[in-house]
Amino acid sequence: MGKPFSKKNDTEILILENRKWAESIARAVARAWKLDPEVDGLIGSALEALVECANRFDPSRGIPFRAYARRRVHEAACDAARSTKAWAEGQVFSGSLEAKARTTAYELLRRFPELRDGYIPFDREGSSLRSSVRQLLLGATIIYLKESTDSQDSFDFHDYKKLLLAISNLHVAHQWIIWKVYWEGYSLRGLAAEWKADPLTVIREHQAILNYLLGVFNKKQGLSPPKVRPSLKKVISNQKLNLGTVPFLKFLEELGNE
Amino acid sequence: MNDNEKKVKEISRIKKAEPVKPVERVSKIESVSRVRQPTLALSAKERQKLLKLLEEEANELVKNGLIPEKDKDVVTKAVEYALTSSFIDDDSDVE
Repeated sequence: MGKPFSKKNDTEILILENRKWAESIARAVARAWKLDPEVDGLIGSALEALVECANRFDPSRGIPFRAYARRRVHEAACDAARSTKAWAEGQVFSGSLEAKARTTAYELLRRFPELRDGYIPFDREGSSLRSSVRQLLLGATIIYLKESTDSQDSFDFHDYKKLLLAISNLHVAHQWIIWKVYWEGYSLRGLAAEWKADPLTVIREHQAILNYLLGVFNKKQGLSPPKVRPSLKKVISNQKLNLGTVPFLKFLEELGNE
Repeated sequence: MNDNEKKVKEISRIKKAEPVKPVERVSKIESVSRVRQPTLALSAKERQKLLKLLEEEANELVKNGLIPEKDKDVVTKAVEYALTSSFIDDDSDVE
């Protein structure tokens, strides 16, 4: 009978020790998106997530509690922010610059969840902080492009022609990644789970794609689209994806006909 | 004897085994520097620097034609919002 009591006590201690930390995450989200953390319920949602994480936490896995809980707490605060009245007022994408930027930031955090963990997305093959920032800007650009085409809000095909053509030059497997992540809203890990692939494979392929696209715009000489790793080829073959019908090409055709 | 069977003509002489060379001592491994992912546990000054870098890179990408000029503010602000939402005050614990 001793163990459940001990677990209960440990959970309570975790909650008490990390309460202020969870609140500081909610405040950071509120500050970034110009919301009131208390009025808009961000703190409440962050604390709910903290309690949930404390209940599920298994110290025997050797992961520090904050490393385990941070992403979930940040996500809860962001979701709460998104459901606020202040957010809803600018929810329609044709709203103000602030509203568009907030929506794009929310989607960007879903594609680059390392940010929620307090890390800057980092290419382990030796990228600099500058190139990480470029990758984030490119990610935000593709998200914004997608949102703009959805809303037909002042979207001009010619503004993005070069980017769209560069994407269409990618191997079809890579076009699938772009489509799934940016058009269908999958996280990289979510896509890896659906394809039954190693998440690191999908994350690395995504980075290779972004580096290539950035290279196209930086006019790098002799640049060719990245090759598909054998492990991804195997995954695609296992998934029996029909590579000839990547939705991105159909999307481009439709845009071109408009 | 069956014609198809191969006849053993000669057994080659057993060669003298070469002496086993002593294994060289493993040289001392130099300390392995830890590859660290940049964190957002930044001082106020460093945060300002990062946001300045963001602005510089956005300008560069506009110049190179990736970001249309009219969309630069939205895209740059979106990245800024995503970054600043992860600037936690109590971030001293981030490893």
